[in-house]
Amino acid sequence: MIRAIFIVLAAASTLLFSWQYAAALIFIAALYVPLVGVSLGVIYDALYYAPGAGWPIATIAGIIGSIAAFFIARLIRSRVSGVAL
Amino acid sequence: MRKTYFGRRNALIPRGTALVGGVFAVVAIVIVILRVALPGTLIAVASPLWRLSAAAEGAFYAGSASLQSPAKLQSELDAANTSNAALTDQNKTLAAQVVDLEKLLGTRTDVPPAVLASVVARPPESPYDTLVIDQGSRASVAPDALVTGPGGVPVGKVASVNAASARVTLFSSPGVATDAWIGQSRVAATLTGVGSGAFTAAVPKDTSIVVGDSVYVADNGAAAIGTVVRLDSDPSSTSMTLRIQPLINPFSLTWVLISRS
Repeated sequence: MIRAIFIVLAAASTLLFSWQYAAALIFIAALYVPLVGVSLGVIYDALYYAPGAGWPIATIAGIIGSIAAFFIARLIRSRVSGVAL
Repeated sequence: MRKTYFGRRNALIPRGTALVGGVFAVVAIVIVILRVALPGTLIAVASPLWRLSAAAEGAFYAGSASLQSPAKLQSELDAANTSNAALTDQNKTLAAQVVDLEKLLGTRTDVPPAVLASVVARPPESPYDTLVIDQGSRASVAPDALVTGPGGVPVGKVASVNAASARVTLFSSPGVATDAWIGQSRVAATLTGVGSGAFTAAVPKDTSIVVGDSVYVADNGAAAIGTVVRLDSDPSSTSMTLRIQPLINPFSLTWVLISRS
């Protein structure tokens, strides 16, 4: 249930919240489902990226965040008992 | 019949996680295809949610006003009433002038020099200092057109245009370089956007720039865009870095004008 709430909130945050809150929510959602980080990063750039605005930071951050979230979630699952990630 | 084959379970990625991730990946791919093939459709779909976000933000600020002290609210109300009365009088005068001018010139008007557009998405939703506006090529909005905010302050340039919407890159977008003049002596400098509406510029130390000097960009003469708020100087360097605050807060931009060039 908590997993679903975080994933829905992360998806909604791309349109409703400022990018700082969105980034935090997407990272938490990526702890449960790593691909969510990459996907929402790509969606963020599809929505807001404009030509001439430099690197597509959201996609790059999504990839890095997803990889980090995958390993952090694995670490938590193996070291902390009772955590359902 | 006896089942002889059992699907292998991935110990690293459970089936539910893979399913949800797959759905998100497919949605992301569809949205990217939409952005490339039908960019206007994507903005049209997202616009109601962006407007909902802006309305919720406004309601939140309105609600937080009730937490202020009654005396302060009363003084603000008095000031607003006074201003309203003055504006009402001014409006009557202007309405009379319009009637007189229409008698003199008729009702023919020229094509307006700019297009008024509502800002649908702005920072901080957008991490790039970009705006999404609700006017596009149907209203003669063209790429590279100058975008100005309230008071004619330049804020950016149109980056891409769809039929009924456009994306604007603000001058303060990270890495964007803009030619400018600074201070009374009009020292030439290149502004570099650093995000959140702010700029920096590097100028020689021996210039006469001081805190509070205005910064101008070329727009039918020199248009003010910001104010110098800090001078950072390194003893080992021959130049100093100016920190520039914008005249317009991009976080609260609701309407902009796009020049017809």
